[in-house]
Amino acid sequence: MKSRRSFLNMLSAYQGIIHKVGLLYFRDLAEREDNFQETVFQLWRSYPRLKNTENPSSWIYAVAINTSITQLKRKSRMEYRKDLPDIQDEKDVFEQIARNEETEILLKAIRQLNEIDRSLLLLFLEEKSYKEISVILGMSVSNVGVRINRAKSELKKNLKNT
Amino acid sequence: MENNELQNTWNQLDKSFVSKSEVELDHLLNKKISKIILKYVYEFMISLVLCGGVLIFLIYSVINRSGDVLFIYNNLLLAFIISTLGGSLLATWLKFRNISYKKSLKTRLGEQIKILAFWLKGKYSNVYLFLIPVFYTMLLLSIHVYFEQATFAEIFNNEESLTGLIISLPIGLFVSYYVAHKIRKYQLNNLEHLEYLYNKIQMP
Repeated sequence: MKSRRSFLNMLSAYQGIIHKVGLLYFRDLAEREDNFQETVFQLWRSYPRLKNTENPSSWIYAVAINTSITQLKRKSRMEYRKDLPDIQDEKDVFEQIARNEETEILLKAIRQLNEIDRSLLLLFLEEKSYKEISVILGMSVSNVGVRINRAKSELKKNLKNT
Repeated sequence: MENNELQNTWNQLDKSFVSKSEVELDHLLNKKISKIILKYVYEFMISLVLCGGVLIFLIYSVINRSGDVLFIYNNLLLAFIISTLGGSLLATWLKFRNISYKKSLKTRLGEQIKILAFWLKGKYSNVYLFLIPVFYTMLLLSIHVYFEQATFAEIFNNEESLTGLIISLPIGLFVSYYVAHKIRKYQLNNLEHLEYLYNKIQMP
């Protein structure tokens, strides 16, 4: 029987994943906090059925992406709009995020992609293998390769324009 | 930016989060669990008051009016509709809620679409158009007959009662259709969004 202590221990080590997924999908700090809470709850719900406790990152990515996309449906969809203040202007005092300019530009460019391409690029940037990405998103391995290349080209275009 | 540069820039994000301690995470989980329990209790109470209240009224009034056959048929049919519809909706809601978050995004979206599409675009998706007026008329008749302390047949012979029914029927129908339309529109938007995401994944 997996204990709550071991769950919290694992969560504590991998919580960065939830933060990063949230950052790609939610502009608003309160929405990100909400999403963080919901993801932790969904992880807790499916934790007893987790087989690979040694390397739970793929499972956390899957749950975090699924939760964020479900949350997006419930809340207002985060469409990238240039007329809205970006996260940099928001000054996340509570998260104490101190991101440098390069990271900000990259985040801004990724947020301009559609929801699925954001997940694809996130997993690519997190150095997940094509096989792992295909399992998390439910695509074929060959399609993952094609889609990542396409998303990267779009990202580069966005980076030039940002 | 090349791949390495992109990844290096991305990895800098790790340094920018203030990690929550295990105690904070435990507290956050407890808070969420309490919130979920409260939400379910609240939703359960509303359903219980709405469906349970009507069912109790129908059964109670049947016991009190055992002589009026039309009234008994009307109420039993209503009770059957409410139980069947309420049961199916509850089963669907549980099925929807229990789709595992562990599954791949495509599988999860596919299962959600299947459930929503069955209700919104399936073979029986327009049954509500017929069900609302039938259900509403039967319920209105049941309440009216019961509180007027007359029999079903007498109500149809009473001009005053008939006028009351004729006036309240269109108002009630308008409100019911309006609410049903709003809920349907909201769910159709959800379905559309899910299909949009699903198509994005399937895109070659």
